[in-house]
Amino acid sequence: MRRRISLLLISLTIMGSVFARGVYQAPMDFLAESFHGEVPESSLLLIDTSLEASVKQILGHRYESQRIRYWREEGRTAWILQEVGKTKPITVGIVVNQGKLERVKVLVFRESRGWEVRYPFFTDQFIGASLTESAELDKTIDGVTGATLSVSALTRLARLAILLHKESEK
Amino acid sequence: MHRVVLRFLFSLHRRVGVSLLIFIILLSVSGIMLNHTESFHLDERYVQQGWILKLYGIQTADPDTVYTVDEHYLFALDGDLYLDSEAIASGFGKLIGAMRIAETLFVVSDNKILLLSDNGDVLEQIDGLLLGVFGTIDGLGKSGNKLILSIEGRAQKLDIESLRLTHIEDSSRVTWARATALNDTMRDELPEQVPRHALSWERVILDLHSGRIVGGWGVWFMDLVAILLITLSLAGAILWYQRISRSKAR
Repeated sequence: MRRRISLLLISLTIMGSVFARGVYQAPMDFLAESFHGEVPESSLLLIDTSLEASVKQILGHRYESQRIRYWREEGRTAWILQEVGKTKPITVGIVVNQGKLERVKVLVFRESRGWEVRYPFFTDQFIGASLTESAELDKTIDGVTGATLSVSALTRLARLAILLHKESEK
Repeated sequence: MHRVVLRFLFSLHRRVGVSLLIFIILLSVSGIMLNHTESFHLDERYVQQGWILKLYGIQTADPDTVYTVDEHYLFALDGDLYLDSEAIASGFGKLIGAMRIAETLFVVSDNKILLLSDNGDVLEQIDGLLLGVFGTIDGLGKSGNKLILSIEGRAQKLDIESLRLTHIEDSSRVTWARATALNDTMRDELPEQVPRHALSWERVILDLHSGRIVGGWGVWFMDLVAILLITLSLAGAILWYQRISRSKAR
């Protein structure tokens, strides 16, 4: 009996980890939700040499491509960005309005740990944050125990989205 | 304590101490590194040195599928996409096709579309999820200057600006990307590739610490080193105690 209960507990733990990974929302659905059903045409932002230095300062490495797609409507921009947490990329949808974060949502989580960052109790902390002159968020983001690397990845992406938003307005 | 025993202990302490010097440094340094695995990112860094991989019996690998575009070889290995000898993208998935359409080189996996410049720089990565495609791209082709994807066997035209997919009824005019069979000449021309994520540095340092890196006898050898270290400490403690007692007696 004891063995069966142990097996059940182990199975539940493994299943919990498996189900925590996955696609929480398709990027196009996130965009449709963010733009009230009407997704504007996408634009491309080229990461030139000066922007690349700022991107590198935030991410600690180059972005995975030389241009980034985004969607804009009346001062609001939406970005689908990804960054590696520990070993696999986390895909995040971010909306920036007038230089401030309006929405942050984890769309795809591929890691086996740290998935707690998908919940609004964590992502809602970013709302209203903007960038300081040293490219840091002007709000303190509380971490999540056991999800340090995912928290760090999301924070970097939030900073990056504001930077890219500002760049797209130039 | 008998003087002969003390002389023996002193000699033992000196000889064992000198002979263990390298191992004490090795164990201490590897121990510190293991204690700070996350700070040193040892679990995220992977061994690329062939001779270390050989110790673990990890062989170099040949790609299953190779696409040739403008004298370039494109292939995927262990989740990474290679252009000739250089890994240009990771988390790539299964390589489906590569072809030049107008000025851009398109490389497609089952879940991603990569746009490359002439010199192999990644211009853009379009995740299949943005197209509503979940690992189901199974073909890359072109019709004129239009990019065609086969998704679950159905040919669809992709507008790269709007990211809209349009089903095409007649796919007879589509030129599909075809893989090149890997022959011996190409195998010689391709640089020797190793699986990039097969062995982490954390594993190597751990095995260095335990002696397992040189096989089963290495573990026994490290056990012997540990026993000698215990002997060294005990001999040192006895010699120190003797010296203290002698100076008190005086």
